[in-house]
Amino acid sequence: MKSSNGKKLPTDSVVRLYEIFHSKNWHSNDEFPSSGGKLFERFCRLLERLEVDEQDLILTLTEDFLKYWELHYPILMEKALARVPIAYLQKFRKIYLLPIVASKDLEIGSGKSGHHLLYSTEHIVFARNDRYATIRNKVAQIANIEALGESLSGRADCLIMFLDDFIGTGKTTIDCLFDYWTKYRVSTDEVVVVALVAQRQGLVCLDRHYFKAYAGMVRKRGISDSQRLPDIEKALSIMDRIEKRAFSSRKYYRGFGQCEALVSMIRTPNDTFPVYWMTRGRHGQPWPAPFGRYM
Amino acid sequence: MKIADSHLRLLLRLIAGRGSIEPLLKRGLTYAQVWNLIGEALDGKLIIKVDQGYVLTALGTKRMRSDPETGKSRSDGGWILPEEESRIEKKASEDVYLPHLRKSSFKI
Repeated sequence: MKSSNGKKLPTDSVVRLYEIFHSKNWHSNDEFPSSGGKLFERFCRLLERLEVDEQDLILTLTEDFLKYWELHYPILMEKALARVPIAYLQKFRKIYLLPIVASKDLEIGSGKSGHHLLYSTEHIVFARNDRYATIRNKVAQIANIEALGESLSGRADCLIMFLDDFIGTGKTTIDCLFDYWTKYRVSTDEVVVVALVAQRQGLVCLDRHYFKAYAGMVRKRGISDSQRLPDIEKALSIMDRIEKRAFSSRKYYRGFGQCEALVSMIRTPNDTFPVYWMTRGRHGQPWPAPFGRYM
Repeated sequence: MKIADSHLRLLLRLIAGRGSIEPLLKRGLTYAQVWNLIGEALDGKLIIKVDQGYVLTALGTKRMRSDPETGKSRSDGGWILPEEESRIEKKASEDVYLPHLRKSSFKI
């Protein structure tokens, strides 16, 4: 890794970053293996690359940044499921839990975060919380959606519950639901989507397609909906300037689908601003992303 | 003067003068070590946040200005600090010491 050069980094900004870490209970030595190095150091190296107004923006956005580790997942799922009315769950003969996987990912066998959730949702949330005492025996997980068209094709009055850790624009979710709708749906099925964290625009997108969706935590766009930033237009232009200078892939400017997310789960969604997760910048140069997605 | 104490004084000086973090890194400190120094400064109530950023408290100013040996206020107000990054181990009188050219601040 390149040696540090704090010439452009005011001591004030480092102290501010320290206080943000403290308020979020992040630690200097929290590891994020795909980025290399420790979290505080990587944040400082990111700030070193920025001008003072850019540092100020990233620090302000970081105050709103949400970071969840694996241990938070059952708690968030508990919160998300608590929003689904119990009377609604009770009316089904069976509840099948499935991961959200877009059809293109199914074809290439790519593992998605929804798979992590099946086990903990069935065996931790449904099994241990008294709220679900009357329905827990009806809950079963299905790792592969094709089972709905094979061994379970004769089912009736079932709830198909799709799970994911994060919904951004909602595009992946819609892809997955359309795939289910066209290939595996039976007329008595009902569908619900449950996510640990969701962007508000993703939930609006699902609602527009008449899908019920619940999330443990709903997030607004990081800059456009910010209550913290005094000048939204200026903040957007500063972020655009950073991204154009740092990255060549326009597809991820302001996050995939211009989602403006400020979220990192076990893996950081590409809906988050790329300064936080893209580890390769222009011309393949390393970028010191604090929550890197790729090596 | 203990090195750690000297680092803390330098941190206070950088905050008071709104300087960059570079002098601490030049001393060979990592950001993890800077983290510890900031923790010490905040926990010891040596610095405080105001609207425009961070400033020294009266306690912080006193700490920056005081002599670590005597505890009395130094005539230079704490603005002159040893250049810890240039400190080397004591050499025997026959040894020849060649400083690292790239790290040297002297122009040849």
